[in-house]
Amino acid sequence: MVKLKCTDHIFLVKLANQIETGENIERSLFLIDEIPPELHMKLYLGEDITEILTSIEFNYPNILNLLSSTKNAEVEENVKRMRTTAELIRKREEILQEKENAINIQKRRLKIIRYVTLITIAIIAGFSPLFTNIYSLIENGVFQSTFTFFSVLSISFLLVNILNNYFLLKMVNERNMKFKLGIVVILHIGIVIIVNLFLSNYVLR
Amino acid sequence: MKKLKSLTKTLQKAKLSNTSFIPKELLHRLILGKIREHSSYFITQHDLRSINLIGNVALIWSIPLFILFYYLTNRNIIIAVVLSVAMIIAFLFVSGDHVRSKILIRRQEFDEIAFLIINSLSINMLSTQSFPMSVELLTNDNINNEHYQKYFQEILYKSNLGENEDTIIQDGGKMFLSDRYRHIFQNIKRERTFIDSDPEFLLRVKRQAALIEDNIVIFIAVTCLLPLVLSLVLALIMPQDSLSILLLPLIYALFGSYILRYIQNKNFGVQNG
Repeated sequence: MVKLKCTDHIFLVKLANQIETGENIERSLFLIDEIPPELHMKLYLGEDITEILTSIEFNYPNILNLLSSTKNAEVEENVKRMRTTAELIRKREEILQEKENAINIQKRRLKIIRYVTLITIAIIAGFSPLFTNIYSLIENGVFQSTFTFFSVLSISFLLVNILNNYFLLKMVNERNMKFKLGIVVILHIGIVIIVNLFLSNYVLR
Repeated sequence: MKKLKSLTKTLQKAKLSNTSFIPKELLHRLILGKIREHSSYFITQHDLRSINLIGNVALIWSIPLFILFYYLTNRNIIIAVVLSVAMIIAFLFVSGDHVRSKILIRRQEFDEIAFLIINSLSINMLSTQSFPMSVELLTNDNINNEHYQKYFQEILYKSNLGENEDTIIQDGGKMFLSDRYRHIFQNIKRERTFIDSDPEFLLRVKRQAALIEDNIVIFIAVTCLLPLVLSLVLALIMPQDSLSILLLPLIYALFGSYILRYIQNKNFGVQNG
């Protein structure tokens, strides 16, 4: 796949211009400077026009559909339609870009919130043996100082944290979900171990 | 990861993904819900197979889970059943949601390029003057989007079989969510059917962005407060090794995926209008 040196709609407009002046589609491809030289080479060698067009990497692959019948159509009507479609593509790209920007702001917000909740939940998870000791103090009147790191409670904390991050990631259709969830698991376990070490060394000696 | 892949491979070899132990109708309704109606063309065989796989894996896992909980709860059947059922339902919902949102993304991508398809079909109509020929031109080039290509090939197949062209065009319009596009597609045989401006698109995208912004506020409120409060409550009122602790994160899973689903549906509801 070869990339063009310009955006799709500029390519379409230039193609339309060339066709309007009476060139056929092969000639007009020659005359467009933004087409990479290897494609010009292929044109020299006389390769099929549809194959050359399919080897171009368009942002909108459906442009190929648009060009599929330019060979055997009336010039004027065709050119007009190509122009308007190019204009539409340009407008659309602007709108989508705007939307993307709006979503990116949300993404940044969500990222901060994700990390804050992640760390908070992990810290609560680390301190949870303390809380459960309070529970057993109320229940039995005995303050147990046995720390079990691999308890059902810590598993459920991990679950809550993963789920929370999953939902927040899914909300904005983030990519690389597995990788990011992996980071969450590692961070969670790391923070829990650090808090546990702190607890058993400094608080409950 | 490799283990998981090999596991799924062996499961696929055993044709676990082709047949479903849970009734298919129920499973699909549970996971796909409303999108079965408005984007049925975008649900591939692969998606259906992975939904079946999810259902079967959940069922198979329920047995060892039940046995595990049965012994962990000192042979209390009721709690073991409740826990394993909750686990499985949460698994079904969360992983089903993953498949579901993939389908919705595909649908949205199609909506963004639908105008190009209609315009090129209209150019093809101009040059060939016949509907089947122009659809053939549309599907001929190596377009890498298999979903609607398959759809148009089906149209082509139907018209080759000699079905009435007008009914094919009428039915074919159902592919497009937007009323305007549907209308234009259904009038494709007339001379002037061509999308030259698209004011709706701007409005729709703006509304969509606003909706995401609003919903993110709600969602953040829920997803931030709920897990935090949940984890505090978990830590305070439960003993470390009581198994009923496991129920709470699962409830959160159900709740969260329901909210997510609601928001996605709302997103598409707006696109419909």
